[in-house]
Amino acid sequence: MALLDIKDLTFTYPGRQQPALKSVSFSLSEGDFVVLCGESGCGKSTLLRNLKTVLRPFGKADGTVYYKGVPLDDVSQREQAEEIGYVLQNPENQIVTDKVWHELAFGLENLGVDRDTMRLRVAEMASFFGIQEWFHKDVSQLSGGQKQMLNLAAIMAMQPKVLILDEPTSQLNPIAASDFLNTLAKINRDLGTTILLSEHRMEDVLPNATGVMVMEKGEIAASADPRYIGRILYERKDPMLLAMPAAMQSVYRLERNIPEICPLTVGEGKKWISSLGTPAGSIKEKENEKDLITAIEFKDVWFRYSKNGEDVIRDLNGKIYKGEIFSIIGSNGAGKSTCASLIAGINRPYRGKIKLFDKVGNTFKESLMEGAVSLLIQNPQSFFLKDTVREDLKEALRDRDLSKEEKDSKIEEMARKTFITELLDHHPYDLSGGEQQRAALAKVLLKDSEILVLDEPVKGMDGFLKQKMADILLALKKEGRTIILVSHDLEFCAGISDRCALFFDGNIASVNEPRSFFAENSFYTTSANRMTRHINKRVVTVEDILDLWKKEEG
Amino acid sequence: MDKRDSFSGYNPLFLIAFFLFTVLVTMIVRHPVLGAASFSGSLFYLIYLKGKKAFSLVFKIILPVMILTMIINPAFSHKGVTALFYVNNNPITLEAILYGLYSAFMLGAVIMWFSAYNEIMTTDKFVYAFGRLLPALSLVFSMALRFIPRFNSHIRTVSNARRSLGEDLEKGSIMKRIRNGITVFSSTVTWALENSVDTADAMTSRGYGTGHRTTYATYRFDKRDGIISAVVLAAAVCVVIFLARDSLYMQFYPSIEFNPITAGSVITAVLFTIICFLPLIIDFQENIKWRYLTSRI
Repeated sequence: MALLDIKDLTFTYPGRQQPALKSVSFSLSEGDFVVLCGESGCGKSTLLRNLKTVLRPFGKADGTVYYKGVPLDDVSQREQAEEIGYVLQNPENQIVTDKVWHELAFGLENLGVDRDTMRLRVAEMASFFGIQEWFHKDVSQLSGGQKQMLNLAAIMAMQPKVLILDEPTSQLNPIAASDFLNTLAKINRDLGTTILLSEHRMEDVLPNATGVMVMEKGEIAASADPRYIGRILYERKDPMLLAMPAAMQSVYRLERNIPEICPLTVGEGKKWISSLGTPAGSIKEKENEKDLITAIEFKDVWFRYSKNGEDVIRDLNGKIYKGEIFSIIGSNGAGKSTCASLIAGINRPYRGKIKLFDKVGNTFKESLMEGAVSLLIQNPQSFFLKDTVREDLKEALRDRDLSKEEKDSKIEEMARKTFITELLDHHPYDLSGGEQQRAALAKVLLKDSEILVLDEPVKGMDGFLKQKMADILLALKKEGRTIILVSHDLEFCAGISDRCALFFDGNIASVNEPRSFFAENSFYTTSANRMTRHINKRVVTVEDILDLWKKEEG
Repeated sequence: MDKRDSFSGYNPLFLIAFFLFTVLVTMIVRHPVLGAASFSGSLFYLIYLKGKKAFSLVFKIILPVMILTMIINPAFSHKGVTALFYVNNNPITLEAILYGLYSAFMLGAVIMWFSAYNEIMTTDKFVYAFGRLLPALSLVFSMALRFIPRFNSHIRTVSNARRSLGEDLEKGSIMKRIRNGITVFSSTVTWALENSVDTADAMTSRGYGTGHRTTYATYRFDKRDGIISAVVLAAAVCVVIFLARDSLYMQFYPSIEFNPITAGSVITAVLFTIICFLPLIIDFQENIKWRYLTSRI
């Protein structure tokens, strides 16, 4: 008997014509690990929320969800709370109490579990998740990754039969995300818990999953074993193929030597690449630009947050040129975000200098420096102060000497550039993560600064949204603006940057144009590069693989 | 904490009762011997707990407060029979000066007990003790402790975001700064309300409100706690009984008078002194035990 059985589920939000879910049917058996993927806004969250009565959104639902053969509405709240665990997107918002131990016990307290059992279950979960070291800590001292791990552990302490997760890693950096997803795989493997997960980091989950479902406009478009989903998407010519792991993408986009069993991991991809033989094509190299004008120069910059604190930026030197997209990558705590705040003038170095140059290459005067640099900090929600996006954008133009019409046309133009025209009259908090990011970017862009610093602009975005963001940034580059990206997303940086820099221990450890940069790194590099570096080190993206091994013309 | 303190390892319920008792006796009972015991006990314990930092607290806050009290009382209170001299036709009396002096020490002792309390009663101990008395409120308290730092840090993020747009909270005219401050605050409130929807979901999803709640405790009331509680309770009861019977009491106004010294009052003074020095006694005994244990290894 299936654990969860969804039959013909149709769901319509109030006031909408189009249903958000159209007769969705599927079932989950004991021990399944199913990944749900699809473009943002395709109804993934709506579907997942319909699987637990207390989380079901307002609206009209037809069809039935059966839990262990019983319609979900007839399953008691208590049983649902205990057996259907649910982890939401934002790690911060789900934490209820102030201490780690209390959070672990919270669910058990609600169920009225006696103290000795509670002690045992909390102890078990703390050991399973490796939480002992921070068991007594304040929740506010944890990193984002630890917080999400705590949320998962707190749910697991209730010993659920099914675990439902709605994009749990979208707010995490890649290392924490892959840790989290590996832990999920371990839960599935070692405890046999059934898992239904919506996710867009396919690279990390697919090798461990037992099934994949692709959603499209409220319907399940494809559902298969991870090894075969590629073939189905390929035959459907589905753009979701672009969201799949690099190995799978390369196989089906190259359309050559398609193997019986589709490679999913870097290792399997490597084997397949080797079977292709010597590449006939060549990769497109970027032309070196001449006459570079310096936009920013770091000279022996040192910075720390407090007098007795540790140096966060130590002896930073380097130049960023006008009109380039410059990516700063590196692990957490390397000082990337701090560096961004220094460029934007939010913090000042205690030693050394950051020189900014104007259009022709003269240094800016101190008095004119204000407004030369705009920074988009990580949390886009912190940019919104008004009730609609339009009002918020107006707020950015408040101090400018422009007539009302000029302001309105400027806002319209900016909305077009950032693809948020239809969203202008929405409340900023009603937008999805990617939309919020673009609205915040629009607000920053209205300041019309020459230099833009973007801190994690594609965090939590799927492939389509990333492409949108890339288009916006390339258009800005064309306008001659200098863009500095701080990001964990190697694939994104590799595809778009003119130069990449690896930040380590408070300064730039290496800097180069993307191909040479990733050719030098063996670990800190894109999956496409890791798959092919035994043949050609300069490959960075899947597109490069296609260029190298493309079918001979004719 | 500079040193490892063993006293704070006792059950929070006992600790709260201990501090409540010492502070109440210090404030209610007016007698120089008890005052001195309380003052010295709290001072030495604070120094033991905080080391050098205790001195800066004593000299920067406690001493000024005490001096102020010493000056203010005789300056404003003119009760008492022994006038020493006159200022603006107002008598400055010996009784008022002594009462000021006594109040200063009492106030000092109370502040020091509270700072020692602050040092060892971490929030989770408080929530535990609170939870034993009022289970429903303890969750609210714990949620508030989670919310406040988050709210503050979001305010910081928003003002950083404002700064990156060139709207510095610390620049511009006062009106502009106030307007900026209000926008930041109101947007943070919106943010908090928006996000609390998620928190509510996470709570109901984990079965909040489905029935009887139990509470998890990281502290256990063990034999050691039982013994120390019984001992202190017995001593405290003795102190209270003897205080009621022999009324260890000093009168300041109109003239200074003591009740006669009796066996009961001596016992009271000795017991209360022991209670005040109990944290230190426990710590020293524990230190000696450790030295003994390590010497055998």
